[in-house]
Amino acid sequence: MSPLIDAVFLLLVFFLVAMMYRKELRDIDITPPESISDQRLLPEDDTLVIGIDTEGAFFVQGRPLTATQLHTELRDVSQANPDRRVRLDADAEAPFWRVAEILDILQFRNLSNVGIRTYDERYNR
Amino acid sequence: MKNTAPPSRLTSFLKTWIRRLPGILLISLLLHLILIRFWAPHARSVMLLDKDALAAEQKEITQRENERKKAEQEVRAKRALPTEHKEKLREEAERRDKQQAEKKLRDILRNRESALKLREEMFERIENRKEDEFIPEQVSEPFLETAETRLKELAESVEGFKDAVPETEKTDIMRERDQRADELLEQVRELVENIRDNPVDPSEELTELTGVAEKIRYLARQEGHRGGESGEPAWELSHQGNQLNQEVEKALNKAVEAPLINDLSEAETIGDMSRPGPNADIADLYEAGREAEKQTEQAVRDTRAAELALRQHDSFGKAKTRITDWSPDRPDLAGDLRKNTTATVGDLNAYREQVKQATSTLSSMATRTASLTGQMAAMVGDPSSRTRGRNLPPGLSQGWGEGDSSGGRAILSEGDVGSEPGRALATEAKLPEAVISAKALPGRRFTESSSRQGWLFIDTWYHIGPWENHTKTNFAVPRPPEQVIDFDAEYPDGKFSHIEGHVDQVLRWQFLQSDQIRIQPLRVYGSSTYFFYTEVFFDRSREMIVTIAADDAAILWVNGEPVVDRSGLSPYKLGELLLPITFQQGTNTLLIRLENSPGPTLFSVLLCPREAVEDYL
Repeated sequence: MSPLIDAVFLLLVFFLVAMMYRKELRDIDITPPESISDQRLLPEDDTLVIGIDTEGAFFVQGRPLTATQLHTELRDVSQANPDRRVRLDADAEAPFWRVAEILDILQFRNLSNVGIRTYDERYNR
Repeated sequence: MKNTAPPSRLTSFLKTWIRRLPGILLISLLLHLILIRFWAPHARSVMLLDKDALAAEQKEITQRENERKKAEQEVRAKRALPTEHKEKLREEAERRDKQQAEKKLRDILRNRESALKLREEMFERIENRKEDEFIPEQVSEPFLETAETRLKELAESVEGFKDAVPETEKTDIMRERDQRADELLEQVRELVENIRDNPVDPSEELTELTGVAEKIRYLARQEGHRGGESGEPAWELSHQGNQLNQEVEKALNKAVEAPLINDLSEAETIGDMSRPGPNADIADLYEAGREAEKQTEQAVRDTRAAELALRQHDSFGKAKTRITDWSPDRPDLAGDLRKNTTATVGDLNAYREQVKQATSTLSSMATRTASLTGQMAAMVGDPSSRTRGRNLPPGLSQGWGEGDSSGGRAILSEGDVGSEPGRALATEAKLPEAVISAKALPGRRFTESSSRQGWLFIDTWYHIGPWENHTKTNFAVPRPPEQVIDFDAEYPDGKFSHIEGHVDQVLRWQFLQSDQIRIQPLRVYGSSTYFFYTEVFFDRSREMIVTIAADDAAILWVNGEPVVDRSGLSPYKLGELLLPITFQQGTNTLLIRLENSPGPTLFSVLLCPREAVEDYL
């Protein structure tokens, strides 16, 4: 029987290698709003992540987009897969009308599987 | 010798593990320490159960971490790259984004091609305009239409002028002037008849009419006090002379356009473009993208001018001076990319960022050119309606007046949007404002499964403005949103463009959502033009009753077709105009041009299934 330490290192190496193959997603610099009543959801690879930074600029999967591009992107997504999960990463300092705008576009495009990313200290600290 | 039984397998197994236990515990402890140190640096703070201390510690840790990273990055950035690897590293930095950039450039070039074709199509229409038909249709006929009324009013004014003083009290000079007035009236009559006989070339008669009108005004001024101190008959005659002069000038101005109606010399010069070769780098692709976008914009500008020239029967050159457009300020990334020598790691990182920005900008160009070309196609596609033109079914273009059967405030017409002119079904259909207000809910999607089937008010809009309208609520000056809806556009020709630092110095589209039926611009200014744009969704094609109310004047376009055009001043009154409009399956666009005179401004658009308001029709 192999020593347990071998197994442990094997697992460690496995996770390290697995993490290297994670899908590349660019980060945007946001601080999500805090919440104490959120629901924890496991991440999905095909989640559409829409970001709004403090200036109100839009990002989709980490890419900066203009308003026209965002409309086009969401129209295409709704046509291809209306059940696709959408996550809204809005900075706590983002103009709220931008959040309302995104939610309205999503509703209009019938993209109803929408979540808002928040920061919950119970889980994150 | 006593034989002892060999240890059982279980005992041997347990003994082995007991021997290894300290090692396992030690490794486990080490792993936990690593976990706590690197993956949960604030885990220690959790023990403190002190929220403030926790936050402070977290902040300090983050700050320290950031500083460390920054210092590391600075050191790394200064490290020189080996010369022999530079090119390879540059290629490597481009490799991933280049494919995407090439794809986007292909899209931009395709959009450019489409835009050029549409421009050519519009130019053909300009070139095919017939000069010998232009004068009779656009100069003589409109002039003759008003000439009858003008002659009648002028004759009445001359009679009034003559009768202002009793014959017995008239001096010789007065009699001479009476005679002169008759002569001038006769001259006007003759010249109008001449134009009627020869509508192809009325310039000579029109020029002569200008002189006659001036003589009438001079005559009236000479007898300024005829008919008492008020001088009303003389004033009326002078006014008629003035009116005649204005109409003649209008016709003459139009006649000047005639030789220019096929003239396209003001069109943009658009050069040829070749696709970059297979060895082109990102800088080349970006440069080509910029050029193609620029040429697409030029084509759009020309197409918009041509459409305006056709719609308003102007020359292309004149129409072009009225076109306002906007181009995004694209950075010179090609220059930056070429300047970057990637001598150090820092340069390489900057190069990677520039490559990503170039790809992202190309993507933005592709979306924008596609949007522009799509709207051009809509503009060119239906020449009879001419996208966002002003051709309306009869009865829908009167001013807002107090509602009566002749005022046209409550009109029902039948048919698809922008199809055959609507047939009036009912002219007295009215709904009490309170009924609508009480029942309306906000919404933009209409489906069979909707629980709500009554009045829906459109609560979400994008709006832009103000442009100066000088208190003229007649939609005379075309504005960019009538041709192109571009949410990324910035227009520097707004009402406050001359005021440095004004919040509306540069006009941009803004999102607007209201919890009330009455929609107002975010910032209301007097004597201003605003635009509001939105989309509504229908799961199948269906007829809806649309009601619109506005203070002051408004045009509503549905899918690019004008359905309501109300100029002039008016108060807001809901429920007086009910229009049946057939919406297509899927997304439908709504655009409103709102004109405000001094004072407040607002509007409402509500939709309702026909069956829900059948009792009122």
